[in-house]
Amino acid sequence: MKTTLYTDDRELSLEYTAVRDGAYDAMWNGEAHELEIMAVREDSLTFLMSGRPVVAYVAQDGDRSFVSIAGCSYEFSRRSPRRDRTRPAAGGFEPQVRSPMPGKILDVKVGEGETVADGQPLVLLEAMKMENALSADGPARVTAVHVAAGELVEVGQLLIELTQLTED
Amino acid sequence: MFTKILIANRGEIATRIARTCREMGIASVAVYSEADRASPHVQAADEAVCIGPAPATESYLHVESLLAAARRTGVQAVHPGYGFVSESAEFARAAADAGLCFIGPGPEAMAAVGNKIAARKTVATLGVPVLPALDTPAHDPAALRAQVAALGYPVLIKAAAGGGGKGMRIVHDEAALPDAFAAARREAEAAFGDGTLYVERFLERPRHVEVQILGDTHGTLVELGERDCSVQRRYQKIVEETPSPAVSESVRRDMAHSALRVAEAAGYVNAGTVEFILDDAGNYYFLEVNARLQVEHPVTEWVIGIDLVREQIRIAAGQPLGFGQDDVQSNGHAVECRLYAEDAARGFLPAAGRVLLWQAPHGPGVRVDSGVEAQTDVPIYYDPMIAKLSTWGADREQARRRMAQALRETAVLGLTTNLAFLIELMEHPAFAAGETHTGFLAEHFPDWRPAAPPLEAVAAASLHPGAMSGTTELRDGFDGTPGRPSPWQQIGGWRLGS
Repeated sequence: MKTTLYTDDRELSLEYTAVRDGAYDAMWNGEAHELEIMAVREDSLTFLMSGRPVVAYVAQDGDRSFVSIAGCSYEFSRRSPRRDRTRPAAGGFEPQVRSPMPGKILDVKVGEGETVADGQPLVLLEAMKMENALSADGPARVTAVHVAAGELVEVGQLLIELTQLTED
Repeated sequence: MFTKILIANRGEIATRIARTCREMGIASVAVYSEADRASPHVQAADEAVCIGPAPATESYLHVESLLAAARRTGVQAVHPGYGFVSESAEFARAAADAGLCFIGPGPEAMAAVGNKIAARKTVATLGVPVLPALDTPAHDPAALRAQVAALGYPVLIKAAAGGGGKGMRIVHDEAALPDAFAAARREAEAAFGDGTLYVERFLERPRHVEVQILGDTHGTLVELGERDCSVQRRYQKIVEETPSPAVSESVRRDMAHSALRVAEAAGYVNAGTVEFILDDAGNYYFLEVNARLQVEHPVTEWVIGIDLVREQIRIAAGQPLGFGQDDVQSNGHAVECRLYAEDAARGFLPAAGRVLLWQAPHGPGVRVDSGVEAQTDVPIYYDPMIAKLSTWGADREQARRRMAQALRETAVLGLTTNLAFLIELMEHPAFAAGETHTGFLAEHFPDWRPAAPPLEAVAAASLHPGAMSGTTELRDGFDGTPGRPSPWQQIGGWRLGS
């Protein structure tokens, strides 16, 4: 699995593979580190990094993640500040469907567990007196639906989560 | 003794005063502005009264609203904390006229020490050293130049009526004098409504050392040792300690003696602080008297073992101190760090915002005075200090190491704070060696930047289920990858909020 996070001035990528239950090998700057998760709480994560205990306090605010370790805090965004916040990378599949602008949800066209085709509308959003259909950008299974018709949403708010299905 | 006290303040100091009230069996009344509805200080008291809109001039500084709240709740006394109306002779007088006891020095002593020029004149006659200064700078530019040249550069321009760095300018040469003077006057007028300035000789690498005094209405006056508050930014303290690492036994005795003489001459009652600056050679000069409880009072409480707020309340109620100078013994060393919502990488610019997470440190010899909780706001209207951490140790090194550890156990998320900066400051070899002076930060941290995120931080942001889903509501299968359980699922299947 690979995650990419962004700070104001850098892009940070972490590649990790599960080695056993709750344990991962993480590749960081070309070096492997073993991470073993010890405890997950709503606002913290405790893990061993190559045997050394680390307590990380974690908080979220929309797209932004905050982490504090040993008194030093860091702010991350899951989206590049240089990239259009509402569009996936060219050609990429976007598993998180977010609201491109503040508005009102007119209709939710899918349910959890449903499979959807490429381009199939997921949500109808009314914003600035225009109706916008937010669609899947590849065949996928709906893993979570976070909104209902009639709800008001903020820009960047997570609406639908998808898992890409590969055709084989 | 009083049965009910109004606390005319907010944040950590209001909470701290409410605690002592509870201990003493006195009911407390919190006041709050519309911006502070959810603030912890409101919940710390027995009653709470809204005193107006967010701007301080319409709430915490609004004398009529404060007095109305006092009348409405039937209190006998008002504790002003520090800042806001704590050094307002006008408020002290209005409170007295309304039949309320003001917990602090009387309006006369406050008026006498509140104006720096008056205070310096009083003090010079007592044989207490004062810095060479101009009390009445000339308006005519040529005459002013001659006066300042006679005093000797560099000089410091200050507002006669206030503190907190407003209206202050350091001038190194004649060319910079006119502009600095004009700017200082504008600032003083804006901040204090009084543009009166004075000019004093500026010492290079000075230390700021102050002596805590306490006097009752029965003629007992004691000093409770000194505090070294040399580490400052924007002329405001961020680290304080006691005893001062720079003061010898004989200087300590002389300074304490000077402080007592100043307080005696002013007929000072209640808690106060006599501030001095100290040069490299150990010469000290009187600066001013702060007629209130100081932000940094916890370090004194640590080493002397008394509750200063409790003593303030007892003195205001007319009780005798009950102890004399010989009973005051200092034990060990204490350090305080002020945790601010500010950006140490951008000129210590104040930051406002919502605290998403607040984790306070614990352990032996650690004290936390905090004004925030998770999901409370740090409003733009007030001072951005969010907490004070103080630690005690048998010696300076133990107190310093404890502080570094306490800071590392602290977490504040959601807004920029000086926490990481304070850690580096505590661990700096020059601080460890006690080589502090008021230019310490400019000398040792001229261009501080926070460290880049380490692997641990990126891993935590990647692996925590809340971080991935964009919400703190945790769910199974956050990473959505079929056939591979998430770390969250592997923990044992319990869920929050379900």
